[in-house]
Amino acid sequence: MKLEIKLKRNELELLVSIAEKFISNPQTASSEAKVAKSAKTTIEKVLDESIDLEVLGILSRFSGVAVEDIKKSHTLKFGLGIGDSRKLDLAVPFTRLASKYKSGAKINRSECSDLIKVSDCISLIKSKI
Amino acid sequence: MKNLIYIFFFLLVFNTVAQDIDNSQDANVTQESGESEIGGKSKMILERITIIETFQDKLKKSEPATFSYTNPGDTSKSTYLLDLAIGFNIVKSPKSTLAINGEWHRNTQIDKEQKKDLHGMTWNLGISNTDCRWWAIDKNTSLKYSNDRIKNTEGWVFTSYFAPIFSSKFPGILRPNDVHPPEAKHPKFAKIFQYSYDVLGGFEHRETVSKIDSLDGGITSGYFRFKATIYPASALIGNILEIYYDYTYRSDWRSNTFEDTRNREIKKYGFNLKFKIKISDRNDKKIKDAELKVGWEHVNGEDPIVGLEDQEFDKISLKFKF
Repeated sequence: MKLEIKLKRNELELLVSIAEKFISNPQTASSEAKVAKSAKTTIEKVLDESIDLEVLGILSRFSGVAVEDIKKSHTLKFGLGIGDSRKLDLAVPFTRLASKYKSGAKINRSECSDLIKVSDCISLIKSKI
Repeated sequence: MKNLIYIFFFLLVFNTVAQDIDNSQDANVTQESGESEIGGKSKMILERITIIETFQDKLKKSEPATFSYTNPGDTSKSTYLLDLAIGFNIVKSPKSTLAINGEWHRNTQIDKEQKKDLHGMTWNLGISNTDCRWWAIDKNTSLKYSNDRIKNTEGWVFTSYFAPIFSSKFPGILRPNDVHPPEAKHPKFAKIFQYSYDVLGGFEHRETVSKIDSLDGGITSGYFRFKATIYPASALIGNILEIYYDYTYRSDWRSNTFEDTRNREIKKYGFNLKFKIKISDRNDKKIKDAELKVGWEHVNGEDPIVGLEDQEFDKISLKFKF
């Protein structure tokens, strides 16, 4: 049997904080704490990967390369073919993405000109939220 | 050989200084203060500084600074070549960047010597955005004070360049600015050959103030630029080699100097070998990527903005971009 649950990002974050409280509580049995820990890491991984996927989605739309074909080690210029001037345009969708998670988060054109690899884009977004 | 050693020395010193600024600032922070505020500040300053060949030229935004010095050793004069621009971003936003910058262009190794300084502001603005539309324009406008130390003239320069850029909906192989084919799409072909091209249009106005009547006044001209670059054999050598052809055409529209309106061209072609240097702080966290290039270039024509008179020459140089 496969069970699928749909949860929003803030709900997942709430689950993480509940798990943290549960783990830090001295009355929790060690076996239960273990389960809570694994649940916490799973949720955190999901949260982390959801940002990665959104960044890849933007890059895919920009370059015309399918999301499945993009690797984190690809360079924006040679790997995805995004030219130096067009790379600056990434600032607008990246700002939109970052402000979704943290209001007021901004990504500037000059920051985008320093991006080299796909992994740089992901870490830039994560550093802002 | 001798000037190569000079160049290496210059770059080494520069690299060390850049790292030292950061390290020394970090060292000022005591352990109690935890996350370093001063270290953070110095890092921000380093992130805002750009060192390249010129800001005047939109496509050269990615070209590193050049320095070379030749001392013949006998009684003849030593010569040098310097193309350096230092910029500092004062306003940053998702749609535009405003930077103040200074540029120094020196070349005493050629027949008609070049000595020109430019100081002022450059404003980069993205008109529209390829994320929501299929087209956009990258606009680069600058206003600068200029000083030509050969002609002994001062003045100001206004330039505005427009580069069309297109979203991925535009036919792939024709899209300017982008590199074709992308490695992620055609991994086999990209390893043999990749190319990109840029088209740029705009206008320039140069106003000169001089006691000599024939030089005093202003010239307005139209600007067109085409640059094509190929990146061959990345499977064998990585993306370190680039071969380019660069053509700029200026057509004078109006002149109120004694100089007649005419067409000015400059053709450049050559190749570069490119190396990446990572500049990081004490904790091995990346601050910025620097770039080192070794290149040969053939230049034929004139560029009035950087004070280059009509002539033909070759140059081999080491370039540094930060």
